[in-house]
Amino acid sequence: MKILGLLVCVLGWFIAVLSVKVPGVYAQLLVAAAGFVVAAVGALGIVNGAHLKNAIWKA
Amino acid sequence: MLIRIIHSRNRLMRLVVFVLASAWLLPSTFVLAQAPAPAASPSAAASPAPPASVPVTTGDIRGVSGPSPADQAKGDPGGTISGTVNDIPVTDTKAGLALADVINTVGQNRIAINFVWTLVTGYLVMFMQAGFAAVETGLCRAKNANHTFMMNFMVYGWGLFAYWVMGFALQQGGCAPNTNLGGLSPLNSEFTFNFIGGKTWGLFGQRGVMLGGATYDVGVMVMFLFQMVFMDTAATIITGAAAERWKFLAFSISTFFLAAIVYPLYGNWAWGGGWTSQLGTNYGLGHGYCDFAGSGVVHAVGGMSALAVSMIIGPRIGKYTRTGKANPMPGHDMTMVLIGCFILAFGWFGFNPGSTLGASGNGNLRIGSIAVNTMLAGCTGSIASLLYMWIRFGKPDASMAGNGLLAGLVAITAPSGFVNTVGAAIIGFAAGMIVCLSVEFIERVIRVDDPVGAISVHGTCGLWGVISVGLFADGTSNYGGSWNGVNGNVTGLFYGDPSQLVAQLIGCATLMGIVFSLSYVFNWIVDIVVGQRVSAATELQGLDIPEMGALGYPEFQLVSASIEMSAAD
Repeated sequence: MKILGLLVCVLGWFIAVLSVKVPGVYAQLLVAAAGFVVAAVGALGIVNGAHLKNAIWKA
Repeated sequence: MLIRIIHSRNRLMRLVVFVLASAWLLPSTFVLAQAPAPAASPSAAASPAPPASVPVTTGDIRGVSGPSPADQAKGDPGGTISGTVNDIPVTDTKAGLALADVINTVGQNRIAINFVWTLVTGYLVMFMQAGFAAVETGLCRAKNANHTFMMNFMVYGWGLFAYWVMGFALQQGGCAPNTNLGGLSPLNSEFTFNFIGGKTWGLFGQRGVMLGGATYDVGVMVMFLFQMVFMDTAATIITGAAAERWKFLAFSISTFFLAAIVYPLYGNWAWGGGWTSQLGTNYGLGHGYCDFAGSGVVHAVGGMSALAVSMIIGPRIGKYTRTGKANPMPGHDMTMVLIGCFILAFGWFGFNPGSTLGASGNGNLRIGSIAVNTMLAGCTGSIASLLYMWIRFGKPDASMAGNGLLAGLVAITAPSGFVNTVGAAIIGFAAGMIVCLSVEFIERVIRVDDPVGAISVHGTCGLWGVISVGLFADGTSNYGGSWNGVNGNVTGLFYGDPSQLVAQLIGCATLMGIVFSLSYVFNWIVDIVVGQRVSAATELQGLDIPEMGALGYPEFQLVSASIEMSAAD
């Protein structure tokens, strides 16, 4: 899960970078923002979720 | 006699005009060396003509006389006879003062002003380490005071060493030219590759390892000192988020990695001529990623790394109940926290205005505006946090007022050079609110334990600062004709250029997607090899004796505040 989360993080970055090829500046804004959100989901959702599964306070 | 005086005055006037014209011409010439000349503005034709150059000869200069030795021997209480023609160094004493001597003195004075400015502001940033140490130690429990303070202390040692060995070369090894610091010509090699659309992407620098070879250069040394203390600031953010449970050995290795690789890479992409700074020239996105003093490069890099380490290391024992409810774990010295905040606010006057890397030429007189923006955003940040906590919880919380001040300062760091005072006040106020919301989100929703709020202050508000450039940049500044190789002024969405915001969002996605991932992988490896977290027994006892061998407060009896409160109940 941690590795999957990291891959999603990198995917989010790649989506944001691909915005440079999108026609129209407002479309670029949307794609870049979407990339940031995907990266955030990867870090805060998936990677952190994997850590929370075995959190010290659950023991 | 009268004719002689008039003749002498004419020469003096011509010399004054010549020096003024030189001061005007020199920076313009340097800008041409850095980037293509800015496109002429429509109003250029109506602008007054530049001062006409006046032919001045060496003969004219020799006619200018300074105060006599007899006058100087009387002292200069009014400061009117110091700094005259007598003080211009002469290359050939037999031939006397020559035109070249005057020209070289004008050029060297400009670089000297910029060197002194950059060094002194760098010293201010270095002193911020004391502020961070005080804030973080004060927000931790007394039984971990020595350990927390020592982490902040040794960030300076480990970080500086790693940055000297290779970090600086990776970050700035291809940053030339820089016209404020004499060119920095030895830093002239950037590793590049072709990516999306066949454009050249800078990845890392390749000159300046241990400051050897041609980088043994006065300008490079100034650049190194200034960049090094910035890196140190990023590294010290993590020690706060991972405090009270981080093994000192793991901290040492992690800091080395950050200073040697993670920070320099992002620093290169933003400041060293790397790919995010090229988003403007390569893809027409505004002026490329703009981060004036490091909301992203310094604070968000530190914040993302702090997030990664905090996840790996896990929360402190007792922070969460079995149901996942967060328990408050107050720090031990609020006065230390607030003094630390003031030290940081003071140091920030080095951080932001110093990032012009000069005070003379290239629009650098904007330092006054940058300093005012800095103090305004800190002010509105602390007010916003104070009001938020007061309204929400009924008391004006001191620690969050301090964090609000820092949040405002973090947020204004990237836009400080590009926005007006109203923009700065709004950015700071928003940061003060954001930091309160972020602290609650990180503690209660994603349940990452951050004893000092470093992830929120530096990570979240660092990202907000990066975005705010794309919103609030008012199109009045470009520091010498262009920024990141794009002519014209940096302008945000609210002032007519939405493409700048795209570049800023790509920077944010890079911080969240790449910087977080790199930090996570490095620290995961450290966790596997040496272990990141101290034992439960060590944590309960306090890290001072088991990890450091000495208590922070050896002559005090430490009593838990929670025990005292229980007894009072």
